[in-house]
Amino acid sequence: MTDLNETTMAGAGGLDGDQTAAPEARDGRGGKPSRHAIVMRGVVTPILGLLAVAAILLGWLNATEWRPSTEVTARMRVTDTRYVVTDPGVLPLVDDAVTLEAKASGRAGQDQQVCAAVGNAKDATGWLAGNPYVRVTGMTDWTTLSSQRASASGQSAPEDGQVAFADSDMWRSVDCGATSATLTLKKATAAEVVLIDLGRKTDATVSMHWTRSSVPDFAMPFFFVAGLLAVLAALTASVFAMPPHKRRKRIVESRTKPVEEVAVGEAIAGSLSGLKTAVSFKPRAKRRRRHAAGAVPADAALREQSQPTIVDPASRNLVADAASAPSEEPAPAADSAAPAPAGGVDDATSVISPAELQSYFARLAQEMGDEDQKGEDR
Amino acid sequence: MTARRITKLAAGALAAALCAGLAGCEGRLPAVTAADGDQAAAAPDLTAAQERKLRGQILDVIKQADDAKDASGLAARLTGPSLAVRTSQIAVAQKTGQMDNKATIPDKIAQTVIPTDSGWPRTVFTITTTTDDQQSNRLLVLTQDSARENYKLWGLARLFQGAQLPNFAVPSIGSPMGTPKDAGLVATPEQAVERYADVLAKGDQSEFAADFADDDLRRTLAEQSAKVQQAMEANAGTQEQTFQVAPGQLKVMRSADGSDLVVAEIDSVWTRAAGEGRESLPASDAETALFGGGQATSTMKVTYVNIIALVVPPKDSGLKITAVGAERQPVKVEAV
Repeated sequence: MTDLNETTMAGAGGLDGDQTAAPEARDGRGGKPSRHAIVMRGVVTPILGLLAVAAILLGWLNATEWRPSTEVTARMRVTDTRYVVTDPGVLPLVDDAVTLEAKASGRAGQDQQVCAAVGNAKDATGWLAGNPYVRVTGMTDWTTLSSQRASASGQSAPEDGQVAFADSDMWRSVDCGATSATLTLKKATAAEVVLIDLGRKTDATVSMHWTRSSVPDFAMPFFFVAGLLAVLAALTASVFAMPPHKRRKRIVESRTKPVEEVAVGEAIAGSLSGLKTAVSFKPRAKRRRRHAAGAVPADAALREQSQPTIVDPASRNLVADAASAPSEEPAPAADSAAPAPAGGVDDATSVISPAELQSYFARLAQEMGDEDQKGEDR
Repeated sequence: MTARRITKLAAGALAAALCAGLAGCEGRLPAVTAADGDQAAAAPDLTAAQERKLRGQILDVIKQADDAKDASGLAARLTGPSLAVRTSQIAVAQKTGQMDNKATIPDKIAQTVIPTDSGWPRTVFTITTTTDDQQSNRLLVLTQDSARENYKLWGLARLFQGAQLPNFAVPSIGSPMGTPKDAGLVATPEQAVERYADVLAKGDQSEFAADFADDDLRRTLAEQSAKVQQAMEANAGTQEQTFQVAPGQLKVMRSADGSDLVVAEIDSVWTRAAGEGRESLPASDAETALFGGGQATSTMKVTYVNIIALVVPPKDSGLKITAVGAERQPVKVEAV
């Protein structure tokens, strides 16, 4: 079990490749795997792996050991009755091919014999008129037939002029024996019933045997779940083990909709500022200022700070990043003190010369202006 | 350490319990549905194979009786008018030494009509092929009077040349049996048989003559009667034939096109009185054989059993009731 588990983990890790997976799972601080990565790889992945193995095991067992048997035999005991009759639909209950056996207990009578015949339900009812009998109503479980006592309406026919049970024209097939009778039907229909005449009131065992041509497949769902779990385990060991901001970077780099991304910090800041303007009773002036050209660098800086992944890590000073890391936290409050983030940005990207920064801001301001105009047009 | 062991044990127990729940699962237990019962009620009473088998047994009984020229065993598989007819045919054969050609029953069939009715009596109509000597098809009517009796040959009618039978559902579907009082037809089966008996007795003078299409039996009887009448008149004798529907001896099957095929027994008594000082003698070979060495007197009374098959069309079809087959056999010849 443990071995399997380890292989699953290794397999999951190998999905991304060792070179990429290892650095991705580490955050910027000191090269150690993050707590998130440890939980994902150390706890969640093994659990999913174990479940996957368990599902495979159950699927395998269902395909072999626990596979539903093709042979179904159900029996029951009847007491103190002469006639036993199956209900319509009981014969083809499990499969069209059915073998029915009736075995009377006790010694055989002098001229009595046990007979079983296949006929229509109405024929059996007609034959039974006025006689009590035992109905076979179905199955209570896979090995037991269910039964019910009943009595046929009508008058029992006078003895004279009767044909013997075995000689009646109504039966499609009939079998008789001293103590037992066996009938085999290749293609039983729901309309057909088997009527058993035990010769006299006695106890008997009735058994029905079917060979199922199709058995339910319980293994496949387990294998399917196992597959799903294995995929999940692989994902938890690779993609889900990365710090969330690393994962987000990929989305930004794909540049599907880079400008429409709104950082959580920005959103909170926006709502906070709205609140603040409502209190200060100068909503128009404030709002206008936010869209003014002078305010743009502050917004841009805020965006850059809350989306540090835009910056190519290759050109970043990671040591400086680490030093300024706590500045990520107070980002929501940045709007209330407009000039402060500008300084923060200056610190974080100290490798960039002020001239470069200025030209960048100029470009950004232009872009933002275009963007705002577009927004107003809409 | 102990806590961990307990956890392990608990996990193991849980796993074992879950496994036990999954083990030996055979799938959902099948159950009997109500539709099964409905299907059972609509099924035909016999399969074509069963009909073939039981008809074979009936024909065997007939063949044995024919070969032995002994009618005593016939009652096991024959009943009603057919029993009377066959008994008479065997009696004639005892005298003549061979069975009449008319008595032949082919063992191959053209069609069988199986009823779907639940109760008893049940009736199966079977139409045989033509005989080896190109006699017309036979319509066999097999009836089972109760569940604990077997099917017996109740009626046999030789179909007329060119007779058109209505269409019946195939044996695997089955046809509903009709009743003597079926409505929606030009006449109920019971009425149709009564009227046909009247037409047979009175010929074209019958008030119902126009309701019936012309047929072989009617024509033959009229010709025979006219011939005998002529002879009798020459001898200053008289002849009279009466037709009486046998009560309860009526079997009806509903066809797919709405008409009923009705087979019924009509008994007839033909009384011929010769003129003064003359003897009235049997009029046919069969009558002669049945009369045997009896002492002829001036009056001869011959009882006939007629089995007739009528097609009674639906009321609005504009068709006439048509006799499609018949069997006529003298069963008793007496001098009175």
